Amino acid sequence: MNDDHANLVPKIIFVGVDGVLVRFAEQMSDEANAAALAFHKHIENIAPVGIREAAPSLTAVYLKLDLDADMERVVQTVTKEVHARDWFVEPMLQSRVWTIPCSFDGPQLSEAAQLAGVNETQAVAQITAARVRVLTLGFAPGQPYLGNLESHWNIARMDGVAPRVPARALVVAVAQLIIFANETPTGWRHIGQTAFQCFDQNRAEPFAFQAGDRVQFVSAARGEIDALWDDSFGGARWEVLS
Amino acid sequence: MTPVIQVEKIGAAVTVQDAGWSGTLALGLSRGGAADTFALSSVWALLGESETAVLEMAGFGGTFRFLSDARIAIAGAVMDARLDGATLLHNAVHFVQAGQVLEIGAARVGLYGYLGIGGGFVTPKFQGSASTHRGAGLGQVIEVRQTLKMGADLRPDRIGLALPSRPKSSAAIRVVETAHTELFSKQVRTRFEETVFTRGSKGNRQGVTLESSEDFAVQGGQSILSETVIPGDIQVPGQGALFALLADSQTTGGYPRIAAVLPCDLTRIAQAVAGDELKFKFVTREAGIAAERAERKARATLGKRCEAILRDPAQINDLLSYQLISGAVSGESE
Repeated sequence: MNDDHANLVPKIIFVGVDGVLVRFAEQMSDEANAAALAFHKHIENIAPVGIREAAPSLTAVYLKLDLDADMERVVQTVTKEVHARDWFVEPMLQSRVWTIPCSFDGPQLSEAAQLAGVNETQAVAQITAARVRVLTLGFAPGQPYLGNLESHWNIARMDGVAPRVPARALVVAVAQLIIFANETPTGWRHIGQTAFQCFDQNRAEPFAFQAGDRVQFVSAARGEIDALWDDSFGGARWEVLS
Repeated sequence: MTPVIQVEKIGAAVTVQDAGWSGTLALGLSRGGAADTFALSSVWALLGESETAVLEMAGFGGTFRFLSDARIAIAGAVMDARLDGATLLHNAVHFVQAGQVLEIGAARVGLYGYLGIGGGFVTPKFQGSASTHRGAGLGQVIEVRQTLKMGADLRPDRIGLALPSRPKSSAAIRVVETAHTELFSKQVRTRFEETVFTRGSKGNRQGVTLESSEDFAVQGGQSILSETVIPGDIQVPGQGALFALLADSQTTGGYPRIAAVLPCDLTRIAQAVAGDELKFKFVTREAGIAAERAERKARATLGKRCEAILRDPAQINDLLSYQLISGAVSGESE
């Protein structure tokens, strides 16, 4: 990696008094996301002295530093690790594949399909055919950002906000899908309903997903989803992809 | 675990809190925990313990009937506190006898008051913390008729002590650069420092609005990718008020962030009530680190700063509370 490249990408930015953000790209791409996840995994594995916590987002990794450490030295360590490899060519690690039932009857399915330039049947066929990846968990506990769908699904968020989209709903925007952890106001379009709880404190595995997991939705009738409501995994199954 | 309190009346937002979580950001769970971390440290220092869970009372406390003897510490927002009708000193640790009734009223100064108990309140924990995080459905919002339990009190003799009140600062709240500060021009940053904001009417443990007549929106701000956000970050939406994130903030966000409040100054935003004026001032990262380290040291030595209430009558502004507490102290430690 030449120096010019190293100075541009990834970029290291201070976030508050004790945080550092390693930003692999300003725009979303599978490569930048894979780089962020790989770097996060690397930091977790080597657990450098002076780093208290690491969290990946779509294309960046946030590192919370220990205020009691020699912070300039920790920043040097981070810089060295960032430039130790070309993170953009990291292979995706082995991951799980989830199969999650969803009834595609959300109030904005037809609007979303139209914006993507397809009809409703095609929309459901495309979304259930896609094997999307958990790009990151965030906003609410265990809530996944899933992507990327094909580029024609790069539809903008709504100008306004739908005030109450229910928990476990499936929403779409910017070529990504989210299963909501909680009822929430949102600018994303509500296209379906799952019975899947991203987070359940009473479960052996409270946080269902790990970044890098893959997800495939299967179309189900609303009655099936309702029947799965008491199963906190909402009828989902997973297997390890090798 | 001993049943210690029967809740007879309760404010709308009284929750169990401790220092919150560490290491869960990657899973979408923010730090959480006490909104005013200095007040939490004060309660712990007064009780002579740490890490225990306390009650955080937003705006209003409640009426608590004691089922067993206990020590209580009160700190944070100034709320009228009466034990069997007698005023209790704020920022102090008191002895309570079984059968007595503690009434904590509305906040007179600040927003979040804290009630700690010797041995701590014992409620279920999730991944090491008993904190209440409504967005995650974790912890406990205290309800009327609930019975609260306490752990073993290891310092039952430590009573009748008070911490000197922290002088109320009118200085600008210190901020440092954060994820998107560089997207804002020098002029906009200067204007940000010159603006007098008011704490808006919208606010909770997730964050509060900072209102002004100024517009700080940045060109292209809507197309920023979601990244990790931290408590203290000040978000600048395309339109409308700025938003300062607090303990229960979401973990990721796509709004540009102009600055991050130093954790040690964030308590002042948390404790601000609607209409309070707030000003901000950029300091260097080095100055911010130094301030944070000084604050940690100050918190670590709070225990030594607790003074016997008897020996410093100047701190007592209510003769009734003086009488009450002096009785409690003389029997235990004189």
